[in-house]
Amino acid sequence: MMGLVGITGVIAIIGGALFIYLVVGSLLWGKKLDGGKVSNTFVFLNRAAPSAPLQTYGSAGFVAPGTFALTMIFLLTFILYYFVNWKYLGQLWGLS
Amino acid sequence: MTVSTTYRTCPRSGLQFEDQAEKLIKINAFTAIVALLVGGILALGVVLTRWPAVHLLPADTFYMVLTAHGLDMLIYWMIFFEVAVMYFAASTLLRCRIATPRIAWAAYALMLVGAVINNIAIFQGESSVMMTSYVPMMAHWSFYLGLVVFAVGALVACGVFFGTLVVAQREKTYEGSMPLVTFGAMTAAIIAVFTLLSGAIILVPTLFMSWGLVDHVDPLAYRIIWWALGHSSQQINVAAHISIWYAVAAIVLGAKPMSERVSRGAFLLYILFLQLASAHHILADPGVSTEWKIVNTSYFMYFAVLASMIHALSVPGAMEVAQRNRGFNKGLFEWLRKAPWGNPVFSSIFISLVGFGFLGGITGVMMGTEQLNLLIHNTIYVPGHFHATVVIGTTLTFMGMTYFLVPVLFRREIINPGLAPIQPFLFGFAMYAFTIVMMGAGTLGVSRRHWDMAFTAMHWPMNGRAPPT
Repeated sequence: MMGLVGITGVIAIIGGALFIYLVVGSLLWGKKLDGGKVSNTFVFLNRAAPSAPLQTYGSAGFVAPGTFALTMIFLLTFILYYFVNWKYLGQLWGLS
Repeated sequence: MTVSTTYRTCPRSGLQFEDQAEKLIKINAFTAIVALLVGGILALGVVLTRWPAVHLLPADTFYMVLTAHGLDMLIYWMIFFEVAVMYFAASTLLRCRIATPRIAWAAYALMLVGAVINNIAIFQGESSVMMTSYVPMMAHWSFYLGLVVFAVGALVACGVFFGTLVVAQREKTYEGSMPLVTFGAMTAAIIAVFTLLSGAIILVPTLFMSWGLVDHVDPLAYRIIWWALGHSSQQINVAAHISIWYAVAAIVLGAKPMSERVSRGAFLLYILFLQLASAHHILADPGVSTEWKIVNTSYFMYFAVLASMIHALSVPGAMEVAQRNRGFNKGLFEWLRKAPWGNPVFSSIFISLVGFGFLGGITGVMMGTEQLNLLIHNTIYVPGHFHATVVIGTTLTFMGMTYFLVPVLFRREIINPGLAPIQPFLFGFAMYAFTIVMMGAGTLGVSRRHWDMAFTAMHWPMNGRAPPT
């Protein structure tokens, strides 16, 4: 099992190294992008701006059945895993 | 009050960056990435030593590397990035100048100096005390000094964040309630103040003990108060990374929270109850009462778990609603199949969200149960669990946010456009497997932290000294 820890750990570290390469590489060699307009004061948010949903607030109704299904899978996993561990404990630690 | 500054409007995102805030976000985020690089190199040493077939490092180097890995990853990578997130959430999202930029720069300098002093102390080899640094096992005084200086800097940065919120409100840069993402960052900042003060309360006397000014720090008091720093630092991360989940849902999909009030209520539950989960680290400690353990790790902790489950429903739910509004309405999961999986900002967040809930959340509740904790206490299950929360949850989320910030904040195009979409999958799924096998090994009884899990070297002299008889 610890061999698997080693193998998966090394793969994860390669994934992390790839991130560092992509980010640091982009900062060093990435194409420079247009910075946009500079002004002396902030501009009130244009409601059509791409950032508008991020900078405003509001609510929608509960219309997410897929998420509900995922949540039920999550809860089922939760219950099963919790009781599997009680079973492990029951095997190790007799009550009498 | 009028302050002379400039605001840049990013043509790609529409976000407005105030000049000083932009520089501060950049420097804090960049320093965080450097800490991640150092911590990642150290991770290789840890993994290749705990892999029995390789067993790379000698014992003393292993403990030194493990100490530095823990601090560089959990404290320096995370908190530098969180300071960047706080400034972004306060200044950029509220279109406000940053309060007291000079003090913000001083905070950064203190954090940097503290982190460097602490790292030097560890790499000099006299402070291989693990991240927990339990007394009476003493490190070099500079180890504690570095941590205290860093904590002071981070506290000042939190003050700058709160000051910026006040400036935004006074100068009326936003209407109505503050945006949810800023609210989440404020939650993170409040938890950070609690966490950093707890650290100061116990590390300052320990620093005095290392100087010989105090002759005794109670080990049990140390453990209880230290965990208010140790575990709560992850609670800052949780509040920050969940804020980023909401941010990315809005950025990539234009999603709005399903119920803003419920999401805000869940953040409030974090402030009240999340730190109490720290108590699960001392569930096997004979010095604290059973009543104290049970109250903290069940009744109170469940409120924090409830908050996490609310976010776990709310964030993907908001994404689903946004996707369905775009016409992806077929069946239960067309919205998910047609999500922008090729965008690393989105894929990082979704892989993080699922792994954080299934692998980190469920196992956290299991190990937070007093009786079940005995199964895995002090085994490698524990780092398996917290790599699911800290790495899959927080690190992967921060990586996703970085992919957003590189073009928007640093104004650079991501190189190798073919590789960037792959990276979150490679890193995320490798971490899924890594945490699962770690927890499997822990369930089988493999000890955590130990250089030699089979104790085969116990009869050998260690560091030239004979073992105690």
